[in-house]
Amino acid sequence: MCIFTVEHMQTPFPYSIHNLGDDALLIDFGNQIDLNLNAYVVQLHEAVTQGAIAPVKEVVAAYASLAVYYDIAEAVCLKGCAPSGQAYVQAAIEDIIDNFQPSGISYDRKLIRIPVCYDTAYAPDLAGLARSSGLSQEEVIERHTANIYHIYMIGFLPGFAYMGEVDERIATARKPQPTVVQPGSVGIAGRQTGIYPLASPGGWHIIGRTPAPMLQFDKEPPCLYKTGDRVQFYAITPDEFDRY
Amino acid sequence: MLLHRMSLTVIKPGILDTIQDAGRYGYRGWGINPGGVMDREAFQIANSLLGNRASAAVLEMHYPAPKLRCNDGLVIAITGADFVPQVNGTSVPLFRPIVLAAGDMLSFSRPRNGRLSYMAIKGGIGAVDWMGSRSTHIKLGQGGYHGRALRKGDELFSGLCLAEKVPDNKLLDRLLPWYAAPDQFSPEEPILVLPGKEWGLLGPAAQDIFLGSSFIVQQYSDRMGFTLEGEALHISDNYSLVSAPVQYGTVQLLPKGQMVVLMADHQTTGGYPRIAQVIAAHRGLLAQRPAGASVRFRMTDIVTAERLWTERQAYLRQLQAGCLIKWTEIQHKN
Repeated sequence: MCIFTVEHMQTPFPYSIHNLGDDALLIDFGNQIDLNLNAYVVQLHEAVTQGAIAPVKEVVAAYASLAVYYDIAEAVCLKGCAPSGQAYVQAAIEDIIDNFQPSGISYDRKLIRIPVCYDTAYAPDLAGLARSSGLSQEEVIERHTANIYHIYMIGFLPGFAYMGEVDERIATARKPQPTVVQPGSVGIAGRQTGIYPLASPGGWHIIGRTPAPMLQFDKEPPCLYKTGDRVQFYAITPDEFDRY
Repeated sequence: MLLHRMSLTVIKPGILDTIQDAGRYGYRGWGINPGGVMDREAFQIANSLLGNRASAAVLEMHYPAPKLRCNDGLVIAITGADFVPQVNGTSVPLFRPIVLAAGDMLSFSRPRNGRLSYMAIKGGIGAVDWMGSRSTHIKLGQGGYHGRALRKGDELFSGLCLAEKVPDNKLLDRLLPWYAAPDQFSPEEPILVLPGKEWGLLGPAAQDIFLGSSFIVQQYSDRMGFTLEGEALHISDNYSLVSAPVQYGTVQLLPKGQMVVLMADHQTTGGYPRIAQVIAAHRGLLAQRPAGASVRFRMTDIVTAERLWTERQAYLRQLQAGCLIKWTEIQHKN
């Protein structure tokens, strides 16, 4: 565990609220990938969850938005003089956001170290990425393992963490055609890096594979990390991969 | 004291028979979608008819549906799509408790209407509870029946024990004397939506197409999403979104102007414009449209959406209470 302090936080970030169906609300902070904004969203996720708004069942953080899923019947029951159950939930959320003071707040972020084997057998796109970046394969690996990545969000697949930012030199556009990706594959797309916990079609450039399971079905929660945690990769040999 | 668990054996599996319940909540933040039944109302009616707990697991079936053999006396109810269910070759009604005896064969002969049929068993279907739900998460191989669709030879157990033993079926006809009479699916009924976050990206012409034309449910639609074919909806610029949350009923616009409506097994996040949201009360109505069926959308408002949901829930609560009274009467007679 380490303590992370959000710096240069401009608060509050402007937001808008929309319906996400008649049983969810979307709090939207724009359309950008920004570390400070995402750190704010992660903390706000915590605040809305702690706020324990009666009908709310689940709160989910993404890059620049939060979704709040709630029970319609309960919201309608509690609405009082609000025009709708949704308006009642919205007012309760706005109250939390408007009174939320993130500046100076630190929050615990786990640092998770994940072993990755960058051997050719597990890295179908490593050679290509090295060529196009003008770096050696070793240099690509060095740069990928040097940074500590922030988990912006989890989505697409169960346990798929969107992390960033990778070194500018190893950033690369998503592949035009998705290919079949093996479970545990570690990829790069743009300045993001991610791990495929399951086999899936995917458009990211695969530069290695981890033998560590990201999903643990008998644990609560069933995943190694959560949005807002930090990840660093370290290189292992094919032998270490096999023995893991 | 002996716990007697009744069972059914799969003689021939259907194309996709899965155990489902109301869904798995609290894990969307890890990319694990709630899943659960696609048609919640049919699920609630099936359990209500049998006096089951509202959260009891049921079998969700597509067509071709399975052939099942009953190994001991038990009571079932079939709701949702009409696949013309038969017991030993004789048609039996939907929306009514049916007593099965050992050796009875349950089969389905043709898809008369709808897409998804539900079978509940008195006492609920015994299944693996994973993260608070018995719903089958096929992608992860968790929950339900070993995390997968049913296969030949699988045995479904009811959660029934002696305390709520089935009334002696010698005293009863095959059909118990109560039933539900829900609205029939109306294939023409418009699907009500709320404007999505990116509704404004559609110009007036595209909005007119969305609300004025009909779209066809494509063949490869499934529990993850329904692909709709129809006049393409174009947005002015090449808009790219960072991944953001979505929901059962989110209507996404793909780059070529076609729409996908996200269904129960949808991904938790998406990067396509969310042009509309199907209201909760109409998700089941849409889920029951088979491939080739047409879909029209009509815009509504939040107050109407909430009223439709609470009205249906009130009806379902009445049905649940009424059926419980019927079960009590039957048990006292015996």
